[in-house]
Amino acid sequence: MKRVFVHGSYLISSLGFGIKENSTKLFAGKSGSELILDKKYYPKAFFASKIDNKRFNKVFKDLFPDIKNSYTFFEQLLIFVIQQSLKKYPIDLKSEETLLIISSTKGNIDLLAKNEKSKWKENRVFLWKSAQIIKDFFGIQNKAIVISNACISGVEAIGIGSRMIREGSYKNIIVAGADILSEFVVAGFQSFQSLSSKLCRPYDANRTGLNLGEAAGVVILTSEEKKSDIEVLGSGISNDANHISGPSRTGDGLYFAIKSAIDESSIKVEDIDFISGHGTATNYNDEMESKAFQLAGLENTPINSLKGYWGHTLGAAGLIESIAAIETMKNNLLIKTLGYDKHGVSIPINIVKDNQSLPIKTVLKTASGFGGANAAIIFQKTKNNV
Amino acid sequence: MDKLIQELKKEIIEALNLEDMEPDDIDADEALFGDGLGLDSIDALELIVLLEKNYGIKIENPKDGKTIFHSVKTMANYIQSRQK
Amino acid sequence: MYSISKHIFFSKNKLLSNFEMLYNFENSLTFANVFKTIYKDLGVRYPKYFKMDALSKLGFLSTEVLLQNRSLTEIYKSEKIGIIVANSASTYIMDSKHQASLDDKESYFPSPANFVYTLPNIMTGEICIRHKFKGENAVFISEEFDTEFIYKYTNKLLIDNKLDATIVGYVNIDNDDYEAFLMLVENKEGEIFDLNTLKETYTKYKLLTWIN
Repeated sequence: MKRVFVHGSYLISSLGFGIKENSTKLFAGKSGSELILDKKYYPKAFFASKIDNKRFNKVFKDLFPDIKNSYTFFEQLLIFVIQQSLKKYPIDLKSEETLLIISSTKGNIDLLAKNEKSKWKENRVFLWKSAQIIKDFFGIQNKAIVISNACISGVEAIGIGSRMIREGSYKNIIVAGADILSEFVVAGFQSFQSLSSKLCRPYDANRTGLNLGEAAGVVILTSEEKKSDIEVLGSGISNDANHISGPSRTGDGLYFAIKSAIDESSIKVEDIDFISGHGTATNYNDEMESKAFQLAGLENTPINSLKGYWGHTLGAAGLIESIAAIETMKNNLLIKTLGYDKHGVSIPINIVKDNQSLPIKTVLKTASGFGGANAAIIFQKTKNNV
Repeated sequence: MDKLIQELKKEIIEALNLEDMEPDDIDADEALFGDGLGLDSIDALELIVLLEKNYGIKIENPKDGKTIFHSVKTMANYIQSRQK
Repeated sequence: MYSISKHIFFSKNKLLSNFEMLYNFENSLTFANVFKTIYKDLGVRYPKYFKMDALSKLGFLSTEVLLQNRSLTEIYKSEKIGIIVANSASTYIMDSKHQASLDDKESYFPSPANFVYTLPNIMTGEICIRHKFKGENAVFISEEFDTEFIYKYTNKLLIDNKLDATIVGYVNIDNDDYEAFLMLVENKEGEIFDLNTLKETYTKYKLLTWIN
C-alpha cells in the first residue's frame, strides 16, 4: 500500500500569517476572536475571528502587484496560502500527477449580496469556478477537485487526497481550504441560535454556542517519503443518519469514522497519543463527541479543541486544525482548550486544560458537521523525536 | 382567541411546510413536539422566527420555548399576554 | 467483485430506470410540479420530504426509485453503505432564497429551515437518514459530472473494503435545469462496476433524454 506524507503546509487566520505566528499565539493561549461591530456582517455585534484584512491586502498586493482585482477575497486567500507553502515546499505543478483539492462550505458566497453581484460573472459564485481559476493560476493540469461537505470538508479533503495518492493516480496533492466571514453565514447561524455572544467554551458546562471564524490553510500531500517526517496513516468518513442539523445522540457515526481511520492505519487505539477534536462548543456537538470517543476507547486520551483561538472556520477548520495538530506533534506540546474550565459533557473524556509537554507520535483529528457527516484522520511521525 | 388560533394554525402549516394539512387537522391543545405533530428542532427555531416576524414578539429566554410552544393554544395565550 | 445492481436517470421531466422510461412529463411542467407528482405516485409517506429544498428532493426521489423499497441494511452493515455524489451548482436555489431574506433590512427574518439547506451535503444527509446509510459519504463540486474521478474514488473505497454497497452518481439542480444519475453498486455478482460502464451508461441516458 502506497504511503502518504505531509510535505508542507501554511495557513492564515485571525491569529496571523504563517505557521510560526499562529503556533506562537496558540502556545501562548492567545485568542483571535473578538466582537465584530461591522454591520456588513450582521445588524448586531457578534463574536468571531477575522483575518486582518488591511494587512492581508498589503501583503497580497506586495506579492502580486497587478492582479488583486481579478480575484475575489476567497480566491486571494487560497492563492496566498498555496503560494506561501509552495515557496518553502515546492512540487512539480505542471505534472500530470499533481492535483489540487479545494475544501470550502460556501466559497464566494459574499458575491450574492446585492452590491457585489454586478462586479462578477454569475458563475463566479460556484465553487468549481473558483477552483478552476486557482488551479489555472498555478498552472496545474488536472481539473481541481472540490469538496463541500459542511464542517468536515477540510479533514475529508485531506483524507480524500491521501486516498487518491494511494490509488496511484497522483504523486503530489495540494489540499487547500478556506471560508470567509459573510452575512450569509453569520445570519444563518444566528437563526439557529447557535452563536455564543462571547468567547466559546468547548466541552465546558457553561458553553453557549460557537464563534465563527475565517481562515485559509493548505497541506501538501506527497507519496515521497524523503520529503517529510509526518505520515498520513488513514482516514474515515461516516454519517450519523440521524438528523440534518442535530448530531447523533449515541456518537456511533463519529465512532465509525474513527474506527475506519484506525483500521486503515493498522495501529491500536492505545497508540493514539492525542486527539484534536471538533469541539464547537454547541450543546449537542460536544456531548456527541464525548460519547463517540468513549465508544472508541479513547476517553483517557488527551483531547483539545482549538475553536477558542480561531473560531469555527468551517471549510478551513480541518486544514488549519490539522496543521496545529502536526505542530503539537513536532513540539511535543499539547495546547490547552481555551474556554474550557468546568467539565460539561457526560463522559469524563480527558480534556487538555493547560498546556502540557508530552511525547506525541500519533494524532487523531476529527470533525463533525451539518448533514450528520463525520471525518477522522490519523497523522504519525515517521521518526520519533522524543 | 379563536380567530388567533385559526390564524396561527394556518401560519404554522405554511412556515413548517406541513403539506396536505389543513387547520382543522391540528388540535389546538395537541402537543406540537414529541408525539403530537412530531416537529423537530429546526421547526422550533422556525416558530421562534414566526413569532417575531408575524407578531413582533421576541422571546427573551429560549428556555421558555418549551412551555410557549407546547401547543397552538399555549402559543396563542403567550401572544395575547405579550400584546397587552 | 463489485457490480451495478441498478441505475436511474432523472432529467428534463423524464425519469428512467435501467434505461426504461418510468415517468415522462411535459417539458412545460415545473420541476416542483413534477417532483410532487412523482412523490405522490410512489406512495411514499415521509412528511420531512416537504421541508426539503429542491436539491434534497431531487436526491430523495431519485434514491427512492433506485432502491425501490429495498432495505440495504438487511444485507449490509449500515456503516459499510455509502453515497458518493458529484454536483455543480451546490445549493444555488436555496442560497438565493436565503440571501433574499437578508437583503430586506426592514423585514430581516433569516430562516433556519432555509439556511440548513444551503449546504449540498444535506442532500446526501437526507438520503442517509432515510435509508440508514452510515458509511463513507462525499459531495464533490465540479462543472460537469467527472466520471473518471468519481469512479476512481468510489472504486478505491470499495476495494479498500470501506464500503460494501454504495450509491454513486451526480445530482444537480439550478434555476434552469436538473439532473440526477445514480447507480447502486454492491459487493456481489453482476454487471461489473468499471469506468467504461459508468461512462457509457451516463452517456446513453443523456442521449435518451435528449431524443425523446
